[in-house]
Amino acid sequence: MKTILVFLLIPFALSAEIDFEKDIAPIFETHCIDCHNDEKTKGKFNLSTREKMLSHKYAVKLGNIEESELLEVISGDEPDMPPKGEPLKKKEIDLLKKWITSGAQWPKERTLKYNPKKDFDWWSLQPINSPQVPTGTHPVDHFVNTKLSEQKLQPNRKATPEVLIRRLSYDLTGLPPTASEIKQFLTAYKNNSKKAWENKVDELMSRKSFGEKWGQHWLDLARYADTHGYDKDKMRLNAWPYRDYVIRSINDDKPYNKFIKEQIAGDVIYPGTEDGIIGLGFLAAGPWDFVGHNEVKETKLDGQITRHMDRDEMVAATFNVFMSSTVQCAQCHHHKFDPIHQEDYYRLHAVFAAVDRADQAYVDLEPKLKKEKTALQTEFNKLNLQKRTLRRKIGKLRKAKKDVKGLVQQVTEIDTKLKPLQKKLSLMPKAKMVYAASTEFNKQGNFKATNGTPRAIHLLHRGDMKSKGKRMQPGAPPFWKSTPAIFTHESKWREGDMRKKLAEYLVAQENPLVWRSIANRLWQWTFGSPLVKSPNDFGRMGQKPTHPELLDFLAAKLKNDQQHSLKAIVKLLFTSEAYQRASSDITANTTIDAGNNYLWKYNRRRLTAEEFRDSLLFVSNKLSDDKGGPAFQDFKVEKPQHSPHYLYEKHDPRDSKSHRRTIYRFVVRSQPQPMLTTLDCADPSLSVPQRDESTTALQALAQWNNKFTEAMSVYFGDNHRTSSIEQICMKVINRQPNSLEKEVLESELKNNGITAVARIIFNMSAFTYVD
Amino acid sequence: MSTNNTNLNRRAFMGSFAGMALSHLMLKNNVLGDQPNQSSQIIHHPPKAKRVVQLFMGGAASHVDTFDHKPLLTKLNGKPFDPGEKVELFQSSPGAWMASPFGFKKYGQSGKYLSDVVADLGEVVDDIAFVHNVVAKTGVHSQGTLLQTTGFNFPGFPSAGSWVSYALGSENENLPAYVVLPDHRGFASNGTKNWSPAFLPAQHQGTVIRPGSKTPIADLYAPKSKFINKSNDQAGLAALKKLNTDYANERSGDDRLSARVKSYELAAAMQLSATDALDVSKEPQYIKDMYGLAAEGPNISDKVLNAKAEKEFFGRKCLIARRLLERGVRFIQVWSGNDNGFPRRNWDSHENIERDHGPLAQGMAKGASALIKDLKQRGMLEDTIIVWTTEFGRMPCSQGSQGRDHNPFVFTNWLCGGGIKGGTYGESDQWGFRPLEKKTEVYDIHATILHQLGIDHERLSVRNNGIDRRLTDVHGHVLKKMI
Repeated sequence: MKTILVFLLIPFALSAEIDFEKDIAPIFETHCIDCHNDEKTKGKFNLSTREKMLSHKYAVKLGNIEESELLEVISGDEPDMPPKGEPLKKKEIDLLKKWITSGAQWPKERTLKYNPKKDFDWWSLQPINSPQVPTGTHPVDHFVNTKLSEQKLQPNRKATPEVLIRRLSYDLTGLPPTASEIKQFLTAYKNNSKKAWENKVDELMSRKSFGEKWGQHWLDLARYADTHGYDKDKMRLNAWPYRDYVIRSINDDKPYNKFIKEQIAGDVIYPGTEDGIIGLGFLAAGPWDFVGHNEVKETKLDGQITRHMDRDEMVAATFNVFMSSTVQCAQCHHHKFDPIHQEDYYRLHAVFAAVDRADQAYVDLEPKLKKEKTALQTEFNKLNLQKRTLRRKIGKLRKAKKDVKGLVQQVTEIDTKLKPLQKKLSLMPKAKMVYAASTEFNKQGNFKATNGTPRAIHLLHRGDMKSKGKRMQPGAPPFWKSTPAIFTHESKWREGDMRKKLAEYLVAQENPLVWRSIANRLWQWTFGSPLVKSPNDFGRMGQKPTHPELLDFLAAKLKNDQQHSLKAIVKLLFTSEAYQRASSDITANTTIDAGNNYLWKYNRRRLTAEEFRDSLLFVSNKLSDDKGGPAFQDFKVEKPQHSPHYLYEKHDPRDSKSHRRTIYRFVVRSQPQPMLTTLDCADPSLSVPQRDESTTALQALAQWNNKFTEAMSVYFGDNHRTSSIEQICMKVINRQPNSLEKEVLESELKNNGITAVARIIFNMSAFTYVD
Repeated sequence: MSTNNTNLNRRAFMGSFAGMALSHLMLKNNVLGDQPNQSSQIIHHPPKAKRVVQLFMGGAASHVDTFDHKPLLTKLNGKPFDPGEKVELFQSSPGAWMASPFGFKKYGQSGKYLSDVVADLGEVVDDIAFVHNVVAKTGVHSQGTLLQTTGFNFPGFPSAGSWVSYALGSENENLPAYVVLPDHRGFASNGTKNWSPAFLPAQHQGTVIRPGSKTPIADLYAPKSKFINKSNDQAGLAALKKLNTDYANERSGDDRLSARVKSYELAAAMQLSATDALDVSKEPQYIKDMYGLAAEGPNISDKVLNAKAEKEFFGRKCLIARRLLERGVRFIQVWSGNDNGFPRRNWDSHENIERDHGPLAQGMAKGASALIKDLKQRGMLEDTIIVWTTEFGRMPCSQGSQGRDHNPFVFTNWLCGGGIKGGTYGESDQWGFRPLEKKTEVYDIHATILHQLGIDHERLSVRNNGIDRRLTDVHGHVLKKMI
């Protein structure tokens, strides 16, 4: 706005004296100061004060516009400066010329500063509205239909009940409906379509498989995996309780505020509860550099960098996931687009300064038992150490061909003590462990617990560990007026209290981001495409909502609901007309809104990688009902002691232990499951708000040739020897075949048998897509 | 059900997927006869190069024992290490200065010194641009590897090959644009993250090819099966084509559905193209010899690390790389060295440089040199860039008595071909401890490679989570003297 004002003033300015504040400062602040300030001084040219500007030999020669390089670099058709963005306007250059000619007056006390965006004038930072909905209308349809008529778009017809039941079943549970379910639904639908639909939505949402489908959405965001990643990629054998926690929380419709609080500070806010500890699995779910922590001391520069990156990962995940905010952009400088200062970012580091990622008990042993066990373990370790020392001695003596009899005898004696100890230990009950954010754990190499003492966090200039700035207090970006930037001014604090403050910050009623963020995700998980197309970024580099009022309506509803119930919103979305539209095209609409931003049709979608795998198991009557617990492994591990090799090709897909829903698989970071990866499943190295839906030749190879498809085809064949093509189609594509399908498949059945037909039908687009 | 095909010859059988399409497919052109869409390429200026081979030495190859000759170390050998500052090492406390266990000789018109274990590169040394002042950010393997492959030292970013595939697409749709030839003994740090597309579309992921193995590309052929045979395989694909075409036709306006029909045809074509590209049996003997292929083939024993086996392993990958480049693959990553396990089968020579670097370097030099010569004689070196890199360097002092610890402060990269001029650009100090004056960063190497491909590294960007991401982050200068 300032620059526009300048232009308006130009006719007067040129004739009058130049006013630095009005005429010159805005030019420098808009185009130059970002790179030429006290913190960042590119080309050794500093525009923060007159003195500093003039200290550059060539930039500005007072009264001499010919020799002032500043003017040279900003002029011409392709000026060198600014290197990015719009070149200066001729009027601005003229002002600068006049200013330099007249001696470049600049008030002495005036310092120009790099001025990060302080501007809160952005849609996602405004308080959430509660727009009114006319009585008797479905709120979703009210908002969607208003937009449709504004855009002159014609809503598509309602999809047929056959299409709807398959769609609903996949969208809510990730599995196809059975033939009898379809039959029942169609009968009920004939009687009372509205009632039948609502009942079916309720019924599917009450199944355990709802959490197994919707939990995967959350795990994609939470960058969940069962190995550390990086070098050596060790297993995380206790990651799974967090995965089960997510599924359970969704199925139990845990209030969203509680769900958040448990994941940031459950240990402090809900002490003594299992979920209070397990929820902290969120912070630890991302990749962790075993070598950087374990083999490098924290006092070394590399050790500090590793720990800094580790905290950055937690900070970024927390804000990307819960707030749809990209705080991590403020690591090296103030956020270029959103009101987030570098200080805000490092204050978040201070919040997490005492936590690391490690196993911790969510169900611990009784204190007495624990003491007993520790004593046994200590004794065991002591003896074991003695034994190892003796062995080494024996080795050396043997090499020197000396007598070792006495020592060997000693080893045997130790062994007789060790064995019963070992047995006793193995019989003792174990604590239940989860891999989570933790401040207390056993030392492993150089990886030591802080025991709750926060590490000193400094602002890092340019994000460089070697350029430490001031020490930071814990805090969070003050995105709304009533929240303070700093959580405590005391020099000492209890680390858990600060995480608690952060959790309370996140779930605050005034927080404009958190409620909108989750409302947008629920929309996306229902309709396939979010209202804000950048679900992890509601800042200026992200997108604006297509339906701002609708988004606010949903956000407000969730915020104002005492239970903060996600299921209530989900049900609202699924019962809308918008959800039930056909996925076919309307030519007139595609010219206006080919991307279906305004929801005139349902977004046809491909089955996800998990849905493809689960469906094959399901229709082949092989899907195990085994829920939760340690992950199944669809690979063989070699060389586990150092860098485990995860060999998928050595796994037999007929192994019934692996016939569980895909969400229960063991997710490896460094060597992800090849078939699922090809089918676009999420990369657990980063928070994935939205998956790709690619179509590649490698996918065709995987779907057609993977040994999993082969194995399931055999099972399917064995279980459907006497089935007709109609029955087979009903089972796999959930409808009667059309005439071409019937003809082609029957001919294949006759010529090549049911197993070959299964392989074909598992590759049909009619199976692969949901209409 | 047919059971007469369980012992089916795989190579004869593979034709079945392809067979259905073969009648109307040209083998060398892409399946539908349309060239990759030139207008969708991201090119900012006329390119000098079209394709890239990245040779990656997993575990961190020592510069001072290969390409960066430091005669002073011979003099100082055994004397207390004193580079004029306190040094934090990754694993150990610094031992004494240590001379290279290998001799160095001059090669080429330039008289560039090379270590005896990389002597095979002597023949082509004048074509190579050495950069001896590359710096890393840390001495941690995973971070160093990711920094070189993706430009960031933590996971979540697309690899250089993914960016190139994204910008330039494929020259031949029947083969993946981006191919990875890993060490058959295991993946290096971070595994597949080193060729991951991260937030770029999935088709820009590097496709792993394992030459010499039963399934060189995952799922390229039908699996071992009691029911799949050539005839029902072909019939099945023909049926699918009818069904899926019909499905697409009934839902006009949805391009994904016709693309899916096409994807099965591309898969068929890929079977043929890949099988053909990976078949080195028809290469003349002198070519096999040039690449150091062993009579025993890829199953040669490396129970004791030895140069003959390493030449076979790396040489075969280089030969396959050449065959893939000829067929239009855009970016190839060739790996030497597996995970950091024991016994060492990688360059992480903490214990013994001579024992481990010796065979690995000889294997690498044989294959790399052959690749350069072979591309040159086929007129392809002028538009193919070869870049040699590793995680970081190794210290000029000893670890134990014969090993070297990590040196993140300086190491060597070299580039060759694609308009790159031979010579030395950037030097390390007298010991190979730090850069002599200026430093070169991975961003500069990546910027230069992109530049030669016709891409401005500052303009090739994709927005992810609110940031316009680039391969070169916010850094990078094209090494103009080199081009």
